[in-house]
Amino acid sequence: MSTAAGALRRAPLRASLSRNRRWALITSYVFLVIFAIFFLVPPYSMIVTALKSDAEVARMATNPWIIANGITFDQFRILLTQADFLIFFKNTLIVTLCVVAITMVVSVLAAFSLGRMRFWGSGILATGIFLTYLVPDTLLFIPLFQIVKAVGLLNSYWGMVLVYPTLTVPFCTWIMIGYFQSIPKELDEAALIDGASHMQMLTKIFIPVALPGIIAATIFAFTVSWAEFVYPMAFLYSPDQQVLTVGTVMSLIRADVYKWGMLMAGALIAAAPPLVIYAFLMDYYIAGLTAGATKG
Amino acid sequence: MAEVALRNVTKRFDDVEAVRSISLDIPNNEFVVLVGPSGCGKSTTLRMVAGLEEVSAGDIYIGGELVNDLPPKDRDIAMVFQNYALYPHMTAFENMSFGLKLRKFSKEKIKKRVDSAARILDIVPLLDRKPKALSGGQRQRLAMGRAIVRDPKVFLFDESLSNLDAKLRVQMRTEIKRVHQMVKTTTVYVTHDQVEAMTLADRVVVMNNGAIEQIATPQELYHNPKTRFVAGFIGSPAMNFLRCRLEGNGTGRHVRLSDTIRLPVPASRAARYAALDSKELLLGLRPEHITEPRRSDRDQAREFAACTSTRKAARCSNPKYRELLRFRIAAKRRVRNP
Ligand SMILES: Nc1ncnc2c1ncn2[C@@H]1O[C@H](COP(=O)(O)OP(=O)(O)O)[C@@H](O)[C@H]1O
Ligand SMILES: [Mg+2]
Repeated sequence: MSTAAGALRRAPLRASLSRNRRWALITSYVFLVIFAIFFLVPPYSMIVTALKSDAEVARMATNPWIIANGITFDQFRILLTQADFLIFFKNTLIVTLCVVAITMVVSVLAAFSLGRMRFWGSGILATGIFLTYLVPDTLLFIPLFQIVKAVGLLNSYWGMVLVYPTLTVPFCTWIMIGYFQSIPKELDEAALIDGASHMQMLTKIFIPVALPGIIAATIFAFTVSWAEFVYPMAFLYSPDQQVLTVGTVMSLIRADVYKWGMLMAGALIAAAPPLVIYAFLMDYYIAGLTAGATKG
Repeated sequence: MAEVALRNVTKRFDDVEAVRSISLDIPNNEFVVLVGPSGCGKSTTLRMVAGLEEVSAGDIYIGGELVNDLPPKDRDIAMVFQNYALYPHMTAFENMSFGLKLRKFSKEKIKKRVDSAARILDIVPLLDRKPKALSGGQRQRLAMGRAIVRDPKVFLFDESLSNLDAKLRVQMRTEIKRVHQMVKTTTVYVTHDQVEAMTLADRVVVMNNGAIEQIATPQELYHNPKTRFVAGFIGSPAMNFLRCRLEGNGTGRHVRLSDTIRLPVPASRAARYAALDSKELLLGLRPEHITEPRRSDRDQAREFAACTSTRKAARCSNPKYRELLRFRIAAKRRVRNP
């Protein structure tokens, strides 16, 4: 009797809950679709243009959104047989791998000491490191030009290995400090009692436990150095030292002649490695971004 | 397997004195419980023994050796934390063997030690699981396992059971006691739960405000508390405190609670209290010592029986009692616990 009454009283509530839920779902799907279209249009345009022949791209009469004259891989073929593009690719790869390695070593060590070993001024230092991240590269390249020139690395991609970490290290350190701080203090105390040195604590406890954060930081460093434009633009000028971003644009835009097809093909190839990295590390990346939200 | 000694140990955090000059001797294999209200400095004391905090003043000896300046790993102690602090990325086996590996034990020896510890704690089937896949009680066992594989000189526990639900807590209490009987090792156990302290300890150290109030066996603590704080802290429901005056006459002494109520002081103690005659005192009366009146005390008993309120004993931690009764003796005579 009483349970029946209870059920009756609860029924309208449940109905309104599910109606609520339906509206929430509809709204979120509408926005999802809008944003998906918004974000997918540029890559779609890239793919379509890259698969067209030069002749079709040049013809104004055709619809730019569809391929009317059949798919061709000519743009890719020419690009990849052109020596310059492969040099750019190789340079970018070398620079990025070095920068990621340097960034991760420096920022993990810095974050460990700043986030975990209390010492005088460590808090201020941590804030200071983050503040340097707020200085944009468009301002920083002027003083850095002097430095790069002074060490004789102007017009060498090794100069990029020197300057990119100014962009990646602060943010990665900051991510890692947050991540290390979310690890309970008792964990290092337990390791300390178990007989671990600070270095063993880092390599055997902190790095494995903070792996999602480290992967997130790695992806960030990879993306930033792969896509960096301002520094190579300012410091590199001969094609054999140039990197993908600037190199592609420079070699495929001659005065006011845009080789659209090849530009798009180049952009697609250039975008591939970060995509591959994301695809492999996505799960970890998301776990890293939401770290600290829940306790594992 | 070692005795632990603290000599005038003090710990200051900036301007807060968390531990004030405490001295404590723990003989070999004894199970000592530090108990006291939250913030009284129990954890700080334990962490100084572990070497996780430096002492501000005083000396700590483990096995006769001065350890003030030794890092935790060289003190040969093992600690079980409140949140267990298990390494989340390692299996139970790896958790237990981590300390041995760092100490360069051989593979066979590690395996032997882990196996025997796991058998003691009944976690053999769980050895290849990660902490995430263990229940609260199993994590607790694993944390203890990690401590006992090392075969340390001293076990340290910091509120190790307070994350468990009530039933499991009682179960793990017996478990800890059992393990201590199997693996005889000096143990310092910190808790704010007096029931835990009274059931586990060989000796209890009651702390308050950074200082030691009393060190005694549970029995002694209960029946002969040295200070008002200990008397009020130990026992549930708590001891009643009543203002009273000691009256002496030819035959013996009485404790006068009100104009009409007086209680005789047992003859065995009457002489001891002679110096306190006609002084205002506090009478500590344990609730369980208030009983049905005996025939001879009828007159006084009627006064007590003026029960002013009854309350369900839901808030009382001792399940033996079902109801709390409140008596009024005379206006303003009742004294609150500190
Ligand atoms: N790292 C610290 N810095 C400053 N004060 C501390 C620190 N650790 C403990 N304290 C203070 O010392 C006192 C005792 O703390 P603690 O030993 O943790 O108490 P308990 O374990 O008995 O609850 C508390 O007042 C606490 O605020
Ligand atoms: Mg504590």
